Amino acid sequence: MLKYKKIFLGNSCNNRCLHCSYRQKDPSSTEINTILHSLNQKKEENVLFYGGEPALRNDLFQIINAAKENGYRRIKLLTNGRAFSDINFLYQTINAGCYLFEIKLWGSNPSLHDYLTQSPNSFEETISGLENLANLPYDKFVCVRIPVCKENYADVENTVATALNFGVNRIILSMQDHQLVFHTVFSHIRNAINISIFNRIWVLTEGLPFCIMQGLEQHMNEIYQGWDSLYEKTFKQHGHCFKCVYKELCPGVESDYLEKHGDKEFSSVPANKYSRDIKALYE
Amino acid sequence: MNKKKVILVSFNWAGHFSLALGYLKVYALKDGFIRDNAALEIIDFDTETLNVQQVVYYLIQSKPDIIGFSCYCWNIEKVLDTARIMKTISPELKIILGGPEVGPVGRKYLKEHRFIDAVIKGEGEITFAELLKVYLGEGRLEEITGVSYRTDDRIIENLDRPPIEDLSEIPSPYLEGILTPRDRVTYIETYRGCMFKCHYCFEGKNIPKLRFFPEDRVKKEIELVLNRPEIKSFHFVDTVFNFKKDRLERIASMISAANRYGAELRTVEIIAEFVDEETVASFKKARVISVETGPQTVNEDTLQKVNRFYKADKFKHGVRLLEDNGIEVTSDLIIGLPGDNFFKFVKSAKTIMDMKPTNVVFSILHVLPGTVLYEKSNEFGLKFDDKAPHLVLDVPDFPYEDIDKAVIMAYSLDKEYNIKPSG
Repeated sequence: MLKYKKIFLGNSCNNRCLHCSYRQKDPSSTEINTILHSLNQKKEENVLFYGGEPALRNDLFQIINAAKENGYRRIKLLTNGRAFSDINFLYQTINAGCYLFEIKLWGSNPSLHDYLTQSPNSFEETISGLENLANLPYDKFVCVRIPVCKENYADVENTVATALNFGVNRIILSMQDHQLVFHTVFSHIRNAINISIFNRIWVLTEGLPFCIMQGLEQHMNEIYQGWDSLYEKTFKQHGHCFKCVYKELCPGVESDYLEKHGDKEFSSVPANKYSRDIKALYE
Repeated sequence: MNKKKVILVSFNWAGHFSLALGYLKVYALKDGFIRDNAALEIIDFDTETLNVQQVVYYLIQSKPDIIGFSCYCWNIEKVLDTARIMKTISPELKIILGGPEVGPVGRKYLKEHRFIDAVIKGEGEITFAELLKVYLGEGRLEEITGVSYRTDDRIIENLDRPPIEDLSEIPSPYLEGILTPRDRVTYIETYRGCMFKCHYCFEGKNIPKLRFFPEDRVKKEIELVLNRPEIKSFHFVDTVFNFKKDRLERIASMISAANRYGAELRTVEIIAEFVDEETVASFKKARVISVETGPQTVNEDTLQKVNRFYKADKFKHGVRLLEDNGIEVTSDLIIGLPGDNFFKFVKSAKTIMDMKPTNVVFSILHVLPGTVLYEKSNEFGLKFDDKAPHLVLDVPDFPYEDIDKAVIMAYSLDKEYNIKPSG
């Protein structure tokens, strides 16, 4: 619901995630002056730094500090969390002025997580980072972002349960893989939502359209944040969209997904007692 | 002559103390018969840190003859446990309950809890003093208005007592030395009642007429509080601190003139729609650091249903004016109001967050005894837990699961929105 100015710090990363669009690209690092200039153009109250892996930058604390100096009220880091296995690094991050974290977790166990990140020991470090965050005696906000793909969708309930062990404040289940058919994954998503809610932790989905999420629309991050994404995505409406009550709001499904799987699993959502109120959220 | 021991008990949060009990004691002591026959003591227990066994242990030492409890939805469980145990140990002990949690439903409490002797309804000062006199041996219960009581296994509800017309009848508990001002937890009340009649609130309906404490007395209370160097901040408990600009300015001037140690005024309840440059200037003069305001919801239909005043543009303007002048605004939203549903609640949260107040506080609807929502719950289609704290359970279009999800979402949002740098 809160809007963040999003600043890309470069695609250098210590993970080599199978589903990452930067995987095949050369490492890059956004110039510090470009970042500082962007921070100076303060139109939002909040800022999110993402990559790549932001924690790899030597000047990260300088960047966070600059955000603080520029008056950003909330400074959030999207990270794989590995660097926080070093408690001193975590303290330095906090001391620089960053209290909000979004940490990617690919699986509930080392073999799955490390396979998907293609980085040995990454699970252990991410979990250790989450543990350090949980034990930190400071006010902080921790969201665990679980990218869902064909390799881990059956483990998503366990991954949520793993994240819940660390007193997180939110969980995001983000569709990350065009190979994965929505209807295949949906029962796991629904279970994962129930597990999280049962444990009193708010949970959101990303990348699942209204017609798939009928009855669970409260959990669609898109009703809070819109369809903007950190990473480039092209959406396309399909035959069922034209009769859908949300046709003006919902951009449809990712083009690559439609090309691969067609639109058979989708349907038009008829008007219902909440659709007008959902639409009003976009006004 | 042995005086009867009368203890007035309150369970409070976070080091607060009860202004209400101060009023009861100071008013009762105006009466010579009470002064001659009773020794009154106020005890404020911290509800977070003390359990019932500790409280009973403490009370037993005083060998009370009469205990009066100040009851709210957040402390009634402890009150009932304490009262039951005390009555079992000392069957002759008289147990009196008062406060918004029990007053409107005195019969219910008397019926369900045989250890309660009497329940005071509405403003308690006069009723408590008259009741005390009866228990001390003067007067008759039947003649006291504003009380429900038990006699010969029957429950009697006497007529209601109208609100106290002339508040100057109640001496100041501060000026009379009954209450000692303490840093952060000192409250001053300049009037009673509320100009609004919101259906979820106790105040407007049950204390319908605005009545004012004399301004010279308010001035003396302010001077007394601000004469103490240890008072760094204090509060006003008025329902709408800024409801009249000229009055606000007079109070601000009183504070400014007396504020030799630079005490700050925190978390006064205001109506943001009434805020303009002059209001801000008065707030600054009074050293107001933070204010709390609604709107509880921004949904037109809901506002109408619960009779809540809200003017979107003026509210937004007021919030900005305050924040831009360094006065922190806390904006309150309620989950589960009739007319709302999950998505309408989200709309309210979104709208308010876009205004960027310093804090947003979310709370679930408490369907409190004595409110219109409580009394007309069937009409509103409200289901709620009749046990305190009276949480709403189901509203048309806002079923239990959605209310629960909204609460869980609000925890998360609260953490993200209200996060503060540590240290």
